[in-house]
Amino acid sequence: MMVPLVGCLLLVVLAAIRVPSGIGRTPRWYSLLVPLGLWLAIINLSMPLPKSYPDSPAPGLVLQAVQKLDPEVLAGIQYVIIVEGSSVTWNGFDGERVQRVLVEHGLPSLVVQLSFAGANHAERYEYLKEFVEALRPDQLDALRRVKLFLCREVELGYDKNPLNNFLRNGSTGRSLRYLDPPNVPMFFSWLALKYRPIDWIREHTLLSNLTGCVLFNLFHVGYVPRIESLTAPAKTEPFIPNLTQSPGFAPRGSLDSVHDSPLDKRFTSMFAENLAWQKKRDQDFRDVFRGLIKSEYFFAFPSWSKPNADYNIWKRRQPGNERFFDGDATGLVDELNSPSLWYDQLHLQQAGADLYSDEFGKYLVEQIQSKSL
Amino acid sequence: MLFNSGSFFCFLLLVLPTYWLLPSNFLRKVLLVGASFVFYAWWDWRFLGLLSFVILSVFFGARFVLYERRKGNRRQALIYLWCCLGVELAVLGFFKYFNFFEANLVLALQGLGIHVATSSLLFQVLLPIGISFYTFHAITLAVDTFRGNVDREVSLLDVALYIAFFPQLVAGPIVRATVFLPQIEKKRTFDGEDLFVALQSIGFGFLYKVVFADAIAPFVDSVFKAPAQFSWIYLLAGGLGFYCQIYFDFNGYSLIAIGVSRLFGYRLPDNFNFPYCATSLTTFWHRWHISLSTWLRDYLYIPLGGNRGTLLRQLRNLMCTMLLGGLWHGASWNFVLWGGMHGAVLCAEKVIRIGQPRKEYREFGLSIGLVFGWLVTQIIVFLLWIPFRASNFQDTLNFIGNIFLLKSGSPGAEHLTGMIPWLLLVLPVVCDTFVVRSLRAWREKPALNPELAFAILVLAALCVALLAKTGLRPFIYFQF
Repeated sequence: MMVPLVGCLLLVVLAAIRVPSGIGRTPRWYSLLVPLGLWLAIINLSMPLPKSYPDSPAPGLVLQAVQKLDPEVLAGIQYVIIVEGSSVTWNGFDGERVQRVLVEHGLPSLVVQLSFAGANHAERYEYLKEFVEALRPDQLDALRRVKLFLCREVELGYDKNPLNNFLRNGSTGRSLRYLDPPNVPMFFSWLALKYRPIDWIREHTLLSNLTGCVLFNLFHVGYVPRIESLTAPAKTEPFIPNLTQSPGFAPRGSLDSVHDSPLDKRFTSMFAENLAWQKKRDQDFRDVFRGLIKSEYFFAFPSWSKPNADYNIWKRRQPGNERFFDGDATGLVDELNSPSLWYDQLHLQQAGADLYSDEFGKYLVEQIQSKSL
Repeated sequence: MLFNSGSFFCFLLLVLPTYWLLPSNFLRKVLLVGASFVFYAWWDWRFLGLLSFVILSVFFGARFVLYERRKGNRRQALIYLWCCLGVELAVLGFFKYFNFFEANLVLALQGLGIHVATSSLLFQVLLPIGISFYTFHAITLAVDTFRGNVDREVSLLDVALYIAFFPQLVAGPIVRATVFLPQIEKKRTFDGEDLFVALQSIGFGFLYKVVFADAIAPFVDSVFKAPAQFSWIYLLAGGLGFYCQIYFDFNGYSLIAIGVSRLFGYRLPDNFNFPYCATSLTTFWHRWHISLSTWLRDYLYIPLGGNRGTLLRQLRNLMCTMLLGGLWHGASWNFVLWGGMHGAVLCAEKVIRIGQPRKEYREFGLSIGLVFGWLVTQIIVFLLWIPFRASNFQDTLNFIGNIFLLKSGSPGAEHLTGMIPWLLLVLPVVCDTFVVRSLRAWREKPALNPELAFAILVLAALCVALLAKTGLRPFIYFQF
């Protein structure tokens, strides 16, 4: 309704203005810049932008996560496990199953999962931020009383590039939602730590798209039509198991052989190049839960891909990464050795997800009991 | 490179300041020709050769015509003119109509019992974007040279700029050589009024295109995609939607083209003059796509005989012009039908002598006859947009038939509330036709201080961005 009505008003305004004929000179700078500045200030203060992107998975994921944190349920809970991740978690991590393992071992727990296919770190940061912002004061109080663990996915593709997948879904509601202006300085700091000055030229497509999206958000381009078609978000499931196998998946050798082969040195130098931005990212993720997190865990999935498997091993061996789970020192890699448990070389099928989730649950039980958490 | 794309914005940001910084008119023209070729290559660089061929052929054709005319050898000049027109029409005919004639030839042969598989005769020809417009520019230059309206040796650079000037290259307005060439003779000077008028025109254009036309387009597309599925009320709303969409889309494009040209200091003619307030189809064509309708009048209707001769002869000229005008829009029987029906109504108006210019000035007086004339004209225009937009002849018949037969179907009238936001988009047409028209005509409106006027323009542009339907949707007239 707004579009035709405000549009008509604009038509009248545009038709009603004129300048004296033969003015000859161009206007002074402030006639262009002052309205621009005023617009930026007023529009960004008055219109909540992320709400206008209902086609992003964020609202649905946050909704299901917030609904799980019922204070009455939390009253009997000792541990809340928050899990974030991309498609490997979305397909391979069954939070309900992990929760069952913990409860069976006498640890009253609640697993809250925020994962979605194709979610890069920028998007996952947005999920967590919106989740915390959506919590009511009583829920926050309840979370302060329990022990909250943040479990974060480790996967080579997303750890190489904080905006992995961005160009595939650039300018969609999904990417525009996390490119909300308040997030932009942080994302640019990640990119500044990742890329050397010369790399910025090579990455001009990414940068120009990113700048375009930021300007799009900054000036609220297309805001009214989006907000007019806004529908209430439906719950988005954070775990969707794969029930079939990808037709292109044809692994060679065994999962053991991939994991047992020596590390490729070409890969390890590339892994190390990403440590600087990852350190900043980890701190930013922790800051979202400031004062709430008791402990932080990282988890990775075994993989048929040699670079991914090498990355998991390399990551596990990094100093300070003792809270890292990839199934090493368990029978998980042997259990997942059958290609029938996999969708493709990275993603599990349902049976594989069950095995992984059980093992992760046991790992958490062991961690809690051995470290008296 | 669409006017409503980020790449065009960057392109303009690069070309415009460079243009004004260049010291000589020659360098500026070189820059504009180069930029126009880049602009055209953005769609398909392979057709740059065709564009260059059209430029070269009309350059030499016009030179020969001028040479013979100056010698007083009119007959020889006429031969050169026809050679030049033959080349341009052959280019247009081959690239635009080859597939159409081939398909119809196959059908005709099949009708005669000779079975030939469709599209097996020769090959499929790709339609180069803007070909209808730049070949018309070429024809204009050749004919105006023959008529003596262009009476100087036009340099190759000037011909290239006239044919390929990027704001009007792909969808007009069709500019006369006599209007454009004098403007590029002298170096343009930067003027605040030009800048204001340009930005105002671009503002209107974007408002029409990305706010109004693009907002209604998804609804129109869904109705025209499968008209058989919809009840009469939806078909009516879809048709009304297209009635609004095509006006805003094409007028929006024209205004942006006019505004962008003005940023470089060049003035292009207006292409629209509130056509939906016309009280007869004759006046509608004085107001809709003016650059084409006047072109058809001056380069087709008048050479055919125009208003000379008997009434029957005049009607024949009118029908030929409108049929060819319809076919110019696209190689399809739907466009022939559209042009033919317009021609038929224009002939009827000519016979009963309505829509004469003398009545034009009082068309919004409180005369019942004029209100009735307006209503009938707009209903005819609305109905004739249906074959223009429908995919084929059968869809056109079903569409119009189902509206008149009040066909029920799904979704039916019970879902009418869902259409209200779409129907509200008719409101801008009403506002444009009646309020904006009055404001434009208001000569005593106070002139604002330039700073205030530009500040309002910036705010209006930002509001347009706020209301814009996101996602790139090409202009309808790009297909022609």
